[in-house]
Amino acid sequence: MDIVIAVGILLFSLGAGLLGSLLGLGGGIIVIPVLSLIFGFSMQVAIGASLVGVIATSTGAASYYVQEGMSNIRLGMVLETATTVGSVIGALIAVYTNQQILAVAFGILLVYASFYMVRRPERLAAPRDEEERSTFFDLSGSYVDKKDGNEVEYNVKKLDRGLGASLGAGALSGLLGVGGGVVQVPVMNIWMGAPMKAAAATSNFMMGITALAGAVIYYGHGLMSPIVTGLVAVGVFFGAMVGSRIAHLVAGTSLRRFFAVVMIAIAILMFLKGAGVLAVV
Amino acid sequence: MGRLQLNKYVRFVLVAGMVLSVSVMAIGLVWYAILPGSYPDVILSPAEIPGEISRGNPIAVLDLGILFLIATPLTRVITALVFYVLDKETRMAGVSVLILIVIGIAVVLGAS
Repeated sequence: MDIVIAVGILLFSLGAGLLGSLLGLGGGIIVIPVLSLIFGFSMQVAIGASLVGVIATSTGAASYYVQEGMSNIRLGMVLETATTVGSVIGALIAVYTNQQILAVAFGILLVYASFYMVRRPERLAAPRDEEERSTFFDLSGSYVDKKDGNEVEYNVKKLDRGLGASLGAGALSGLLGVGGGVVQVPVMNIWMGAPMKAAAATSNFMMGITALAGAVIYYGHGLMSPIVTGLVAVGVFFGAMVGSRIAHLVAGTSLRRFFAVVMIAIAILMFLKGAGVLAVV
Repeated sequence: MGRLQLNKYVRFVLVAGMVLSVSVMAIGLVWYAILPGSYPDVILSPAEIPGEISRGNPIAVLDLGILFLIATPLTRVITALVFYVLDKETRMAGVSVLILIVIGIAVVLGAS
């Protein structure tokens, strides 16, 4: 690979990690269109690299959230039984799927993610809500909210619906190389009753193992470029580190609105690629 | 042992895996920048990696870093399994085993 292209991928990955952490999205949603549309890599190579990038950013973020007690490890692991199955199914489908169909599917995901990013639906969890509480597993959790120093306690309910949605989130991860947080976070918050901060931290914790289940399929099928994957993993990891440190300095709402428009534009390019108007590798 | 202890061990695994894998990949990338284009950009099998590293192949170093990173979340599941077994939390130990079985199936499907 030409050294200029390698430096370009590294810089884009740094930017993707930084923007992803500022916007509350994984870097994959930015990395995949860049690798596919600008650098001309196949969708499978882009998705494989992105999955490893997701493991890198998830590992970094989760180590912080676990230390702070924000990630609910029990809830995360129970839901991982479904996300890993979904991820393997999604990756197997992607390995044998036409490039153009993957491009269109990614375009649809971008449209959904841009609306999600602007709307950010949130339900305030009722403390220790006993209604429909999960009884087979004790998945209740608590954390100290740094904003006011109060301890937030919560119960988890509707585990069956959560597992079903997690299967879908995992399939999305394996199929399109993203972390699946755009599905997982609202499901844990709105359906299962976890507070938004705990849902986001638990989703981050889960992404590593979910992406791993898909990444193993791409790795085994030789659909990874070690150089591209290394550049993306190192780039998004350091980008996300910087992003998490400057997040409080940035006006999140206006940045999210601006980037939602950019994502719609990228989605249109992915649709054009899917339709064969743009070059498909 | 309690939830706080589990958090402590899981965090240690995540930090150690992250530092090790990102460092190895960064070394591989710098090595590759010094010797660009000398080796094919392909995934090597885990058995080939040590021999290729000893021959000075930077792609093998990158492959090793990717494997370390992939192994990190897997190691934290194994850590949690040990914790749950010691704590006699059979249901959560079963959950951990189920995740490991799915990953095992993925490895077999990936290799076939």
